[in-house]
Amino acid sequence: MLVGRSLKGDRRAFELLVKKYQQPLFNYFGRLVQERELSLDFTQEVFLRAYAALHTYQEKYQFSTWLFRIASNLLIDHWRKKKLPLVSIDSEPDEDEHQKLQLPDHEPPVSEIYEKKEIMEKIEQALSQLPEILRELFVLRHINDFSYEEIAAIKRLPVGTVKNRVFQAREWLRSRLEEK
Amino acid sequence: MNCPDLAQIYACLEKELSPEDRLRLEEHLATCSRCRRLLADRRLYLEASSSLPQLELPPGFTERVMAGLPPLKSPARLWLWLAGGAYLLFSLVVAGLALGNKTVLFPICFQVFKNLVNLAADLSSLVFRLVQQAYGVFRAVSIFMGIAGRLLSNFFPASIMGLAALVLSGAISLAFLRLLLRPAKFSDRG
Repeated sequence: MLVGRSLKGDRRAFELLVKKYQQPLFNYFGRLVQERELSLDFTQEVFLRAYAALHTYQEKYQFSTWLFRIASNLLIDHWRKKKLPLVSIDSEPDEDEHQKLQLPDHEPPVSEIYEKKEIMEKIEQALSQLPEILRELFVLRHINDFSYEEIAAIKRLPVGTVKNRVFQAREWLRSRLEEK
Repeated sequence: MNCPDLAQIYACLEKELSPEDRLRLEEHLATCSRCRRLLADRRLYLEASSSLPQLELPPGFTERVMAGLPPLKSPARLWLWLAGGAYLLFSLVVAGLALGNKTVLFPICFQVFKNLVNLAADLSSLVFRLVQQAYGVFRAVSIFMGIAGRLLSNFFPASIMGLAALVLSGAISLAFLRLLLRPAKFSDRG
């Protein structure tokens, strides 16, 4: 196993881990920090922290989950330093959010207005306006392709809360697609 | 069935519904054009969300990460230090003896050399005893196997015994081969 070999001082094994995870981590930071150089620095910092803490990694967890937990902690520290208003994501959705679950009666069908490529461009533009914590869950689900259970393990949240917040993030972004 | 809520529409698209709920929803979709439009709309939206392009890493990024890593202490290096230390001590003792018996260092070096020789003799004797014990165990196993073989040959013809031995040795060889050739496993996510 690559982690075990890295712990024995095999730098080639750690290099393989870097090659495997550098792109997913850069995609994650790129969409969440939205500054290219800072995203590169953060990606590198995650590997440095992971290397220093390799002896604490437990094999019962997925390595990707462990690595993204380090990334998420780094990101939260960054947001705290920037003093961004971090809304708690532990709470359950309020009544308004439950109302949003109901089918909308008169929503313009995005699929009939735009092609897939246009929708992708609009999501990319709207992503920067999505509240940070919702954005992180959206990115983990759709860009990093983690399952709800894996996101729950990374963020140490109940799976139900993760599903609710990903739903919120999607519908928030989709509502922006209706604005021409 | 009434019209499903949006969460169920997403759960259907992400294949998270139970087979029963999925069937109920499909039956409803067959009769409700509004829900069909909604499903098609969210399907395209989800496909677009999951198809956003990858961001391009600069060339040489892996090397940049690797260059920033601190050296990791490893057990291999510790053994290297121990072996190097032992070799240095032995060289000093030999050098002390080579200078002749008129130097102050000679009695100390002589004593250390004597102790090293005694240690080597003890270690050799230990290894010899271990080999003797292993040989005893091997003899006992071979006697036991001989008795078992003679007992089995009374019940089974020699051809079946030969075939069984061949199959058994083949299986053991394959198991060893599999262990040796087993690739490094990723427990991490693919």
